[in-house]
Amino acid sequence: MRGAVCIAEPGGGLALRIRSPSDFWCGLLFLAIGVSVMALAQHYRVGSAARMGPGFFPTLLGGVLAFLGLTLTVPALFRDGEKFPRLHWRPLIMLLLSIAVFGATLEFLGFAIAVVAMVLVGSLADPDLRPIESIGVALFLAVFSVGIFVGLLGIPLPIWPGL
Amino acid sequence: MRWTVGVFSVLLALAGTQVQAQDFPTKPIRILVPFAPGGFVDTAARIVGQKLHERWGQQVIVENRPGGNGFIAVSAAAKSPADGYTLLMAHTGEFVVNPAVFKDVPYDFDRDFVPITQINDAPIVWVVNSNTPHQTMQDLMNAAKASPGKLGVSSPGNGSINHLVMEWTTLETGAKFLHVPYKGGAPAMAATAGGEVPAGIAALSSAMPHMQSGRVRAVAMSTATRTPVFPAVPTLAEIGVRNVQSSIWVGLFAPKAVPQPILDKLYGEVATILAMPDVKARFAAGGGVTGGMKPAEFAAKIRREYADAKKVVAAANVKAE
Amino acid sequence: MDILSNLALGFGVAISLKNLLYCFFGVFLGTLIGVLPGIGPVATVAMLLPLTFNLDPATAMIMLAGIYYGAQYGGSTTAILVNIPGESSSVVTTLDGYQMARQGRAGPALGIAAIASFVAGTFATLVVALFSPPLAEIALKFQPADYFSLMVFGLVGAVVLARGSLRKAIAMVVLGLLLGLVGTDVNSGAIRFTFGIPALAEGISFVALAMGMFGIAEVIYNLEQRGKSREVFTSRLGSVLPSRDDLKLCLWSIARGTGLGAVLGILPGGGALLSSFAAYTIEKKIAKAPRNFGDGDIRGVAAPEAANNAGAQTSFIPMLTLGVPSNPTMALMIGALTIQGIQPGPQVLSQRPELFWGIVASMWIGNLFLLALNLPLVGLWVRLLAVPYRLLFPAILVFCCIGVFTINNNVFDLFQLVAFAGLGYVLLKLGCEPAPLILGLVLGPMMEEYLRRALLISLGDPMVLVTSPLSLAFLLAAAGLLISIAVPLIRAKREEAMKE
Repeated sequence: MRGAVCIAEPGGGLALRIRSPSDFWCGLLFLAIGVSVMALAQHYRVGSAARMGPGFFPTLLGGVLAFLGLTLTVPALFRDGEKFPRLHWRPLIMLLLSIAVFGATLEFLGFAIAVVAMVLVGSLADPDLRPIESIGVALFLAVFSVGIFVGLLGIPLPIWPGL
Repeated sequence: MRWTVGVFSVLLALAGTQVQAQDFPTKPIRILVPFAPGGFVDTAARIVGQKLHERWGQQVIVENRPGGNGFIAVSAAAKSPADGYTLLMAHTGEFVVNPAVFKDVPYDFDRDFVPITQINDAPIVWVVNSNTPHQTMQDLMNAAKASPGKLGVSSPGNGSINHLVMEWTTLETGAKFLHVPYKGGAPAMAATAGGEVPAGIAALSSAMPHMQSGRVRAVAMSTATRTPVFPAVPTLAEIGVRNVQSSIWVGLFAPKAVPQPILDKLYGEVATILAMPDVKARFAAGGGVTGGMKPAEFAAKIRREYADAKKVVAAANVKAE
Repeated sequence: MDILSNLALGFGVAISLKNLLYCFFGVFLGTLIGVLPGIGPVATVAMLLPLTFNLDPATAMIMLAGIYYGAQYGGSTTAILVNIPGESSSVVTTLDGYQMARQGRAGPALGIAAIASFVAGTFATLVVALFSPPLAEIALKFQPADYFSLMVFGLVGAVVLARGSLRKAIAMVVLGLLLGLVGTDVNSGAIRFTFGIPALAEGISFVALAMGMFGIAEVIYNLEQRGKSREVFTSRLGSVLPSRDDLKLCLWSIARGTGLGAVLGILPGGGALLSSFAAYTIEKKIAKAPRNFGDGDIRGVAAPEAANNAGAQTSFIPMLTLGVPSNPTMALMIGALTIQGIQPGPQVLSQRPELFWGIVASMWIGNLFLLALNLPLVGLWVRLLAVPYRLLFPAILVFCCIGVFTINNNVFDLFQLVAFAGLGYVLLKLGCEPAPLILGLVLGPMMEEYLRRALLISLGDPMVLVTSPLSLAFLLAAAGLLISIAVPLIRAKREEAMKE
C-alpha cells in the first residue's frame, strides 16, 4: 500500500505518482471487494481443499480478485495510461432514482401511478428535457403497459392505490 | 379523533365479517406459493385454484413468491389481512422442517396460521441404483454399517425433509451414510439412476419414472402403511425401523384470524374439490394420496411432525450453517 | 429403424388443425413475451398452465414448447435492438447484435438471428428425433467432475468475450463468480452473503443484474453521449435483410453453432447455458479478423443464436427422457405433464409415443411458423429505431422494471436493478465489460456445487478430476484455450519491449 500513501501527498517531485488513474482505481475497487469478501467469508467454515466448507470458495475467489486488483493497481503507478473517466452524474442519478421511485411506489400507489412517476423522474436524466412531451410519454406508457401486462398477459399487479 | 377512527374501523371490520361469511367470496382470491412455478406445491395451487374459480366464478390468482426457503411467501401470508382472500399453499418444508432447522424463522405456525386442509400426501422412498447388489433396505443398511459414512445417498437438499428422514434412519439403526445433497429432487434421482451415487432418498414422484424404467429399485417407504401405487415396497416399520415415519404433504392455510364461517366454507369447498375423480387422478400421477383431512386433525399432524423433526435435528446435529 | 413410421406418427399428431392452432398460438405468444424484456417464458407458461388442464397432453405440450422456443426467437430481438438480454442466452447476442443496430444494420442482424435460429432448430429437432434414447444415456454418464471441468472450460472461454484488457476481463469473471456465491450453498445449506435479506437466499436476481449492467447502464451511457452526437442510432436504415455475402459469411458459423448447441443442450446440468457463450468464443478464436468481434460482426450474432436455439431444442431430451429439467421453463413443463398424469421419464417414449413424436414434429412446424412470423417483422422492428431516443429510453426503462419485478413479484429485485445498473455503469466507464461477469455469475455456483460434490463422493480425493476421461479432456481443452489466449499477448509484449 506504499503507493497509496504517496498519492496522498500533493504531487511534485515524488517518484510514485498515479500514471494510469483508470487502471489504478479499477484495481483498487477489485482489491477492496476481494479483501472484504475474504473477511466476510471467515464467518463460514472454510475447511480444507479435500473437505471444503462453505467458506472455502469465497476465500479463494476473494484472494484471486484481490490479487488481480493488485496487478492493475501496481503497474498503474509506473506506466502511463488512461485518465479517470468523467462520470456523468445527471443521467446516472436520475435513472437510478426513477427505478427506486417505481420500487417504492408500486405496492402502495399501484402500477399506473408508479409508471407515471418513474417516467417523469427518469426523463430528468435527459439533458434535452421537454416537460410537456415527458408528461405525454408517461401517460402513454402507463396506459400501454397496463393494457399489455395486466390486460393482455394477465400479470397480477395492483393498478390503482389500495388494490 | 384517532380513537373514533379506530372504533369506526373495528365496527366496519365486524360488519364486514358478517356480510363476508354469507356471500364469500366477492372478489378475487390470492393463493401465495413459496416456490417458482412448476413444482408440486405450485401445481397443487393451480389445480385447486382452477376448480375454485369454476365453482365460485371468482378469479383465483396463484402468486409465486419464491425465495428465502419459503420465508418470503409465508411471512407475506402471515401479514396479509385475515379475510380469507389471501391463502397460502405450503408443504412440509415450511411448517415442519424450517422451524426445526433454522434459528430465526419469521413466522410461527401456531401463532400465525390455521390450516384449511391437507391437499396431497406423498411417501418418501429409499431407492438404490439397480446395478448395486443391495436388494433390500436391510442390505443397504448392512453395507452402510460395514463402511460407515462412505455409502452415498442423494437427497434434494441439505435440511430437506428427505435429509431429515435419512438422519432419522441413522439415529434409529446406527447405519451411517454419506449425505450427497442436490438442488432438487429431479437431479438427485437422476444421479442415483445414473450411478453417480449408489442410493437415494426421494419423494415418490421424483423416484417413480426411474423405478418404472428399472434404473432404480425402491427398498422402503417412510409412510405408516404401504402405498397403493407400489404395494410391493415395504414400509420402514415392517423392516424394523419402527419410529421413522414421515411424508411430504402439501396443505392450504389461511392467516390465523380468518373468521370461522369463512374457514368452514373454504374447507367444505376444497374438500369437495379433492373428492372429484379428475382431481384425484391428477394427484395420483405424482404418487400422492389426495387429502381432505379435517383442519384440527391436520394441525395435530403438523405439530407432531414438527416435534419429531426437532428431535432428529437436535440428535443428528443437522443445521443450516 | 422405424424412425420414419415414428415421424409419420408424430406429424399425424402435430398436423391436426387443433394442434397446428395451438402450436401457432404458442410460438406467437412466445415471440411476444420474448420481445418484452423480462416477461420470460416461465411467467407465461405458469399463467397458461390451468388452460392446459382441459387439453390432451400432446396439445398442451405442443403449445408450451412453442412458447419456450418462441421466446428464444423473440429474446434476440430485444437484445439486438436495445441491448437488453432477457435471458443468459441472449447476453452474447447483445455483444455484436446491438453494435450492428447502432451502425444501421439492425435488419441484417435480426434477419440472420431468425435464419440461424431456424436452421439450428430444424437440425436439432432431427437430432432429438434420431438419437434421444442413446443421448439420454450419455447425459446420465456425466459425473460431477466432468461438469466441473466443463465449467472451467467455459470460464476460460469467458475471457475471450471481452475486447479490452485481459486482466480486467479475468477480474470481471471472478467478480461474477463471487456474486454467484450469494445465496444458499447447495452442499452445506449455509446461507452466504445475504446480509439477512431473505430475497437473496436464492441468489442474486439474474435478470436484475443482466438488465442493470446491459440495458440500464447502456441507457445512462447513451444519455451522457447525447451532448456529443444527437442520436444513438444512425438514421440510415440500411438493408432490411442480410445480403447474400452475409449469408455466405455466416454459413459455417451457423453450422458450428448448431452442432455445439445441439451437443451441449443434452447436458441438463448447465450445458445449454454455456452453448451460446461457447459458440461465440469459438467463432472469435478461429475468425481471420477477430478484431471485428464486439464491433458488429454478423458472425457474432449468427453463431450464438444458432447454438442457443439448437440447445433449446435438444434440452428437451433430458426433460422428456430423464425428467431432469435444464432450466425453470422445463421444470414447469414437467409440472404440466405431471398434472396430465404423465411422469416424464424413460418410459414416455415407449408408453406415449404419440406424445413424444408429436412434440418433435411440432417443433419443426413451430420453427417454420417462427421464421414466417419473424422475417416480416424485421422491417417493423427496424423502424422502431427511428423513434427519437428521448421517447425510446423511457419505454426501455418501464419494460425493464416491469420485467424485473414480475420474475419474483418482489420489489427488492428493483433495488437490485438500481445497484447493478450503477455498478455496471461505473465498471463500463473503467473499461470493464459486463459479459464475462455474467458468465461467471451463471457458472460460479454450479462450478462450486459440482467440484464439492465430486470431492464429497470421492471422499476427498482430487484425482477424480483427471481419472475421468471426459473431465481430463475438458481440462486439457481449457489449458489449450488459455495458452492460445496468452501466447499472442506475450508475443505482443515482447515485440513491444524489443522496439523500446
